[in-house]
This record gives sequence, C-alpha cells and structure tokens, in this order.
Amino acid sequence: MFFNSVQYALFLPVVFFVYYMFPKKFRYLWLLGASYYFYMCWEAKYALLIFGVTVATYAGALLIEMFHEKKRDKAAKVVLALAVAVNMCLLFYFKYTNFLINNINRLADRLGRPGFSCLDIVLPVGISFFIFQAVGYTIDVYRQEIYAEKNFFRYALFISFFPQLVAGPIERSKNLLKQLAKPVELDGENLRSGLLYILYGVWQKVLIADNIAVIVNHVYTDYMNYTGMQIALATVLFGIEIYCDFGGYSNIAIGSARLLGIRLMQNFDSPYMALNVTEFWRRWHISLTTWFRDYLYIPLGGNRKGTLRKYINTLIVFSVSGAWHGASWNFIFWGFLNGLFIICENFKHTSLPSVRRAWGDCPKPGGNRGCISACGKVPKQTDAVEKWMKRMVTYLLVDFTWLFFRADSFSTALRMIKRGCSHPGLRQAVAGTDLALFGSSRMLLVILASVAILLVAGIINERGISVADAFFQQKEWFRWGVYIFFTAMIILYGAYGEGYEQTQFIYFQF
Amino acid sequence: MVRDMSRRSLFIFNFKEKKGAVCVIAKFIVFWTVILVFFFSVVSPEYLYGYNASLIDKVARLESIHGPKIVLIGNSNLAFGIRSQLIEDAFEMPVVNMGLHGGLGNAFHENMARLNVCEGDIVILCHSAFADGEANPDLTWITVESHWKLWKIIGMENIPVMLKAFPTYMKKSLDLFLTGTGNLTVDSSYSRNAFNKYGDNVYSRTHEEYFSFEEGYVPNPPGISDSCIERINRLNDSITEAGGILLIAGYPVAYVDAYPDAGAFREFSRELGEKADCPVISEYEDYFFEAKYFYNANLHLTEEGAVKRTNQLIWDLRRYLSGEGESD
Repeated sequence: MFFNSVQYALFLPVVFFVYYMFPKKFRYLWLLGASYYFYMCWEAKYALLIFGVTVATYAGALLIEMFHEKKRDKAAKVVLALAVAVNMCLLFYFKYTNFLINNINRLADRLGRPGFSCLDIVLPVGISFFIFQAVGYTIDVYRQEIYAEKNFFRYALFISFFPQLVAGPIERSKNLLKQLAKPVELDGENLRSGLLYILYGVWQKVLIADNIAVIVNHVYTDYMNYTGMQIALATVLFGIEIYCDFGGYSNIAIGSARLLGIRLMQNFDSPYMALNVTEFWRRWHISLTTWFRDYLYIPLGGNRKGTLRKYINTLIVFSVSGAWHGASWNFIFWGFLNGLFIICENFKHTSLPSVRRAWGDCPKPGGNRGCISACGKVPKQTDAVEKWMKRMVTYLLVDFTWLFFRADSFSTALRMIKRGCSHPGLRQAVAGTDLALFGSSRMLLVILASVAILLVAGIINERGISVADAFFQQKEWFRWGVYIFFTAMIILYGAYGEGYEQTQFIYFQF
Repeated sequence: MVRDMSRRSLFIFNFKEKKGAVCVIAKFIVFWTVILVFFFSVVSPEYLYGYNASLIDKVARLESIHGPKIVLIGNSNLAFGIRSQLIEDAFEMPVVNMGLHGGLGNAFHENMARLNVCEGDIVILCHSAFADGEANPDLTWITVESHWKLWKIIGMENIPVMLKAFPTYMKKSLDLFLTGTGNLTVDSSYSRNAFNKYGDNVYSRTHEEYFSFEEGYVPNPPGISDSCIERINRLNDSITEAGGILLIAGYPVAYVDAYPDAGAFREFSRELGEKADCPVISEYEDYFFEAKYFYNANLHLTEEGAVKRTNQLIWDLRRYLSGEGESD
C-alpha cells in the first residue's frame, strides 16, 4: 500500500475515524493493529520479522535497565551488544548476504575457483528503517537517556507506527514514545496542517518526482543513446526527483501522523538551499544523518580524537550510510564521495586560509564574511549572488554523487561518465534539442513551474519562516486558491500509469 | 441526572469541544464533494459517442421491452457478428444485442443479463472465454461514466479496482474537457453511431487488407474456470426464477490454413455442458469460419460473416427450442 495509492486514500480516513472513536486509553492498540495491517499489505509473513525485532529490543531494553539499577554495567553492555548484534545480523542477512556472495564469487572467479549460488531472499520493505529505530531505542536506554518502555504494545507501536514504518523518518524514542503515551485530542490545528502536509507531499511525489522519473529512467536505462549533456540534464533532474520523492514521502508521513495527533520529526530542511555539502547533510534526511551522528560518529570518537581521526570517522560514517542505502558498490561509493567532499570542505575551512579567502570565507575564526558557522548558517552580510553561486556549486557537487546513487551499478556509473565525456553533445545542447527529453512543452512548463514553487518555499524557509505557519496566516480565499491549484495540478498533470499503477517511492527499497 | 447524561452524550460533548476539528473535516469533505459533483455533472461524460457508449442505447432498448425477448450477452464477437433482424424475423421476438467489449470482462457482461428479465425471455451467452481474465477498470469507467443507469451493471467485486482506476479516468476526462476534444463523433466502426437499434455494429465491414492472422494461427478452445461457471450457474438460477431461460451458444472461431482441432472443441463443449446448469445449444465446430469472414480481429466478423454466424445461431436455437438437441 503506497502513500500515493487509492488504497491508502481509503485506509487513512478509516484509521483516522476509528482512532478518534476509540476510548483514549486504548487508541494506541487500534493504531498498532492498523500499522501491522499496513505492513502486511506488502508481505504478511514479514510482520513476524517486525514482531521479532520488537520482542528482542523490548526485552533487551528491560534487561539493560534492570542491570543498570543493579549497577551491573558490564551485563548491561553485554545485553546491548547482543541486542544490537541480533538486529544487525537480521539486517545483514536480508540486505547484504547476496552482496557478500556476489563479491566472493567475483573474487573466486578471478582466482579460478567455483563460486556460490545466491540465496532467494526478498528484502522486507523498510527493514533498514525499523531496525535502526529499534537499535536507537536500545542504545538510548543503555545511555540512560530514556526509561525502558514497560508497555509492550505501546513499544510495538513505536516500532511499527505506519506513517513512518517503511521509509522513516527514523524516529527517536524521546520524541515518539513519549507522544504515544499521552492521550491525544482531536485538534483542528493538527488536522489542518496534517492535510496540508499530505497535499504538498502528494504534489511533490505525483506531480514532480513521477513526471521527472519518466525522463530520468529513459536516460539511465538507455544511456548509450544519449549525449553527455543529456545525461547531465537527467542527473540534474534526478536531484530534484529524489528530493521530491523522498521529501514527498516524508511530508505525507508527517501529515498522516499529525492527523492522528502525533508530531514526527522533520526530515528535510530545504536541503538544496545549503551553501556547502556539510550543510546539505544537516538538511537532508535529517533523521538518518542524526542517527549516524549519535550512534556511530560520536561513539567512533567523532571530532574529539584529532583531525585525521575525524576525517576517517567521516569517511566511515558516510560509507556505512551508503551501504545502508543499498547493498551495492555504487551506493557505498556515493556515500564515500559525499564524505570526501565534506572532508575537503573541512580541510579548506580549517587548514588553508588562502583557499578559504579564494572561496570567500572569513580570514580568521570568528570573522563574519561568508564564514559558515557551526550551525551552518551564513551571516546576512554575505552577498546574495555569492550565496546563490555557492548553492549552485553545492547542488552540482551533490548532484554528481547522485549519478552513482541512481546508476544500476558502480561500473554503469563509470560508463555513463565515460559516455558523457566522449559524446558531450554540446552543439545539440546549444541548439536546445535536449529539451525534447521533456516530451512536450507543456510538461516542461509544469516541471519548471513546480520547481519554481519549490524554490519559493525554500527561500521562505531559509528566512526562518515556517512555510506552513505563513500559509495559515494568509486570508481564507488565498488558502483555498492554493488548495484548488495544487489539487488541480495533481489531477491534471500528475503521472499516473495506465490502470493507476503507482510508482514506488525510491526509499522504499532501502 | 439529566445534565450528567447530556455530558456523556458523545455527539454534543465532542462537537462543542472539537468545533475546530469538526469544521476542518467538514470543509475537507465539502471540498472533495464539490470536486466530484463538478466532475460528474459538468465534465463527465467525455466519451459519449465512443464505441462503449453504445451500451447506453442497448440498455435503454433492453429496459424498454417488457415482454419476452431474446437477449444476446457476450463481448465484441456479438457486436461485430450478429444480424439481430434475422433472429427477430425467425422467432418473432424482439432481440437485443448486448455484446460489447472483452476488456470489460465476463462478469460485467453477465450483469447486463440481469436487467429487466421477463417471463419468456431467452438469454443467450456467447462468451469466447470461460476462464475469467482481468477486466480493465479504465475501460469500465469509460463505459459507465456518469450514466447512473449503467452503474448497476458494475458488480460489487469490481468496486475496489474501479476506485483504483478512477484517478486515471478523471485525469483523462479532464484533459478531454479542457482541450475540447471529448464527445466527438467519428466515422468509424468504433463509434456509437456504428450501432443499429438492436445493438449490432452495422458499420460497413469487409475483410480489411491490413488484417491478417499470424502465420500458423490455430485457435484453441478456451479454458473453463470454476469461478466463471459458478457465476453463470447463479445467473441461470436468477433468470430461471424470473421465468426466462439461459442458454450458451458458440462464438466465431477463425481458421487460416490448418483446421482447428475439432475434437478439442468438442471436449470443451462437453466439459462446459457438464459443469454449467444451463444448456449449451451449439456445436462449436459449426462456428469455425474461414479467415475471409473476419474483419479486423479474430472475433470480429465482416458483414457477410455476421450473416453466416447469425444463421447458424438461429439454426441452433431452433433445434434447441424444437427439443431436438442440447449438445450435452
């Protein structure tokens, strides 16, 4: 059941109405049932997997807490290690076994040895998300940042809560578990903002991402018949596609949860408005980035053990993040490349004043000309043109890494780059014939208009104004105009297949 | 006590406390209701003169005859393969040819047979398949559009797929509406104008040159599924109860070079006769026609072919009514 499907459009209202009809005390039980039903729509047997993860981490957390109370920290550590190991083994089995076998086979092939046959494993939807959420909870209990949840069913809901079950945001126990314990009131503000989030998310997914996907898929499937400029254009478009696809998903998730009175964390903060790659990663898939920061980067030593160790840690974290996205070398390289960019930026920022001056950064720490502070924001004095230039450079850098993310394999990505260099197709690009990729001028216009709207939303957000809050302060006629405009755009120009076969969200495969 | 009870009254309590939320829900419902009302009253229908819109006329004719009649049920093998006038003359009973489109599925066509059944009705099923394939819900939307009278033909089991297909239909219709290209009449065998009052497609049809069967084309008898048979038996019960009879008759089978395996078709006919509660009145072998009688697809007959097939059906029906034979 995809978020952009008619089934979900029927499922959500049913869950919503029954939820508020239930006595407050037992509403979470209804949500738990609905969440398991939602997950079982994909593959019923994998509900057992979630259940297993839930039981393991629930029991693990209780044991850890018990050992802490008895001051047996070593035992608590052992239980934590066991709980994490069990979860990671499950993740490894489902996600990385065949990747490992394939790599062993490649090696064996070179050595002239026989290989192994791959296992018939179907990757359970959202496994990387719910396992990370469960592991995060267990670590939080170990760190005594939260108490272990005693109510098994409430904890089971925390792991399986349907709006964020299959593609995040990877929620923190501190945020979500607390909310699940509180009785929820039917609230007009939550409904209004929830519906707005859903509308905006569907618009991002069905109108922008799915329409762009048609172009990107053509080029990436048949790249040998396209020029370098066309491949570059498709890659630039993919940057928008993946943002709208995943951002759209996250907005629908946040909106759906809000209808049920639960506030999920924001997963995106206008990432393409970032002035550098480091800042981009503070704004992109925030729930995963912060998860890696809190549960991997900091335990590895973070930036506390010297510059070299910091760089190594950065590379490790980003490579693992790449592997988290997919069991393939192209994902790992994608992560590694992002890590490399961040190290370069850091190097530039901390080590080479001349480079920093050339880049326009402040000449000394604490200066204010273009200096990117720890929070990633830039002082107002910085020239607007310079900011936009930086944004463009950041976009191009990040977008270059998306090529590895989107390509079928690492070797395909390299072949695409090679193809692009050998057949740049500059003349064709100058003549404007590459625009034929859009299919029709109407589609080009729709995509351009949509991107312009995204940009305006990004600029508003960048000024520290919540787009949703600003929207609800507008006059009613304006709000209704926007509702009608967005709905009409989705209905008229949204990409639905024949028979309305919804395209899967990109992040569902992770 | 009274005060206490009113406090516990769910509706009053909730409405006062949750006025804001209730207003949002009400606005949301009104918003979508307005969109749907606008769509179904202003935009739809957009395929009013298309091939499938002929169903409007077929249903109108079917419901206008309040006495014994012959009703032909099936896919386009009937639309492009019957001369109802010949049947009407032969049996002196009004005929309605409900044959439409295979993409709508057997169940959809069978539901037409339930409309206005009168005592003495003869309903003839001419399916070319007895193993239910996937019906195309997009096509069903294009057929029923905002013609409320046709909605009763949609089976309950089709509602989920119809809901799923609605956005596509809505999008296509809005596109036609905005570009002003909907509801256009065309001179083609695939238009509503191509049908006569009986529901026969009477567009001038000859064996077109562009149409040729694949080399070595040999048709096989269709498969039979339990679900399809169960549904036909239920239909039989309902028609019998209303005083009519349900019969199964043949559909045109093309042959090019090699003659189809008559034995296999006889076996199919025997199995069908055994499983179905209603009589199978045709020998399927009698409906093997040379390729020259086919128009533009392997079930669509030319005008000449349609006459030949109709005569065969008349012969079968006569034989059955005279009590001479059921194939089972």
